[in-house]
Amino acid sequence: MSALDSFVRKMRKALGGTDAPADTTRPFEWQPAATPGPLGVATIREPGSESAPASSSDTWKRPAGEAVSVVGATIPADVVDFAIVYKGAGVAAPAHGYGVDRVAQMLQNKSLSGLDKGARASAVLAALDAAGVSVQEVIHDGLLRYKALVAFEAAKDLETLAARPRNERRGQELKEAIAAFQRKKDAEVDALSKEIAAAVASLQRLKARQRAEEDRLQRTVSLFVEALPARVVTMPKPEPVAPPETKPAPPVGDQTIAPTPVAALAGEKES
Amino acid sequence: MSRIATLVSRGVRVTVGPQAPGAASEIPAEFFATPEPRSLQRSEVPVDVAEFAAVYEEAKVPAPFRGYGVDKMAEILESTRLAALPREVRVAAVMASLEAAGVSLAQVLQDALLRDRALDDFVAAKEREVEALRSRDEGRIGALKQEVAVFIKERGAEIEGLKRATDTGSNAFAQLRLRKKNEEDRLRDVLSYFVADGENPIPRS
Repeated sequence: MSALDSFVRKMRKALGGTDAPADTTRPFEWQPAATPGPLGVATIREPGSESAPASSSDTWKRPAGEAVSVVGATIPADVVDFAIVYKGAGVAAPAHGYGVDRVAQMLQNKSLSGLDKGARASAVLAALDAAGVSVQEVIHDGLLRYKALVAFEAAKDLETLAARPRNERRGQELKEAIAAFQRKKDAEVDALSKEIAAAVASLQRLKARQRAEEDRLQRTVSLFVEALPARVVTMPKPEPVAPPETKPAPPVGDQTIAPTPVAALAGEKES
Repeated sequence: MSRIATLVSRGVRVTVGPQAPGAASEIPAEFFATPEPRSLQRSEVPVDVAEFAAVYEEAKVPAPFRGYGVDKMAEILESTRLAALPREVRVAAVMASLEAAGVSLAQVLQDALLRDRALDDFVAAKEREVEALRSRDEGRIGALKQEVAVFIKERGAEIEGLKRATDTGSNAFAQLRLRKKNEEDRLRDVLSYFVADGENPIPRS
């Protein structure tokens, strides 16, 4: 037990600053004053014995709802550290500092590394005893944390379960909104396209009627008249060397058929 | 340029004879050189108007002199009374009618030209109207398609976000369960030093 004694001393020193047991050392009690009333029965394992219960107590058992205040609505499921969850659930380390985490550190202390489980438990119990801390408080702390975890998981499970159908419903609403919007706009596009097509078709029909009307007019007048042939104008040959005073010769050829004087027809126009 | 306008653009030669005494055998282009009618910007006459008379009226084509315009001439030519007769006879009948009415061939041609021009202007105006409508409607169609694309993009992004959130939530929860199990195991392991296995308040996960 020298190793144990050494560990206990170290622990005391670390916690109390002295090897001597603290004055505040309290007797080991299975039902710490700080813990609520018992709900069940538990057996505290006797140090050194793997199976024999040291005592019977249920002080670490709490009403189911005690630590369930977390619900974790504001804590994400991928929370980095469960300490946040415990804090959110109102689970604080006991005032004396001996919570389950502290005890876990003690159990993993390298001074105890070579010892078996029972020896390590005894060492820690001794240290707790020396610090006036009930193991029940540690167990209670562990249970509260466990409950906080369960509550947190349940809350997140609910959130996930609620989020999926909610998101799917919203997704469906959005798809329907897209389809409805598209139908409405497609109908507008369709109407506009039809309007263009109808206008173009009307114009085509009008052009066909115009051609027919022009044909009719042309057919009628062509029975009486024909176009005069194009007028051919013979251009004068350029003079190779023209003296400055020489004026260009007038046009020599005009093969156009002499038109009827307009004046003669003007009378008809006026009439 | 309309077909009649093309025909008379260099003047015309009268191909029928004999004509009324003193009638010209040619009609010069200058005779038809009336000022171009003001371009019709927009026609109130519908594109599918039943009769072109409304078009000519809108274009203010004057009534033919003494009722003898190109239409009257066509009417005489197509008369059932003359239907069986040779072309020359029908033409001669028309010329006789014109002479009797004191109307010259040039005046009839002038009437045909004005109607042809009016029709051309009407079609041109309708072409512009259709082009304006097409431009306006195609612009609107483009805007509508753009609206749809933006709407789909925005809503699609929201749908994707929801899917991602669902997947992320599921993954995060799966990870949480795993981490919670580890934490429970840790807590259980610590307490297992002090309580019997069956009495451990933290169940085996």
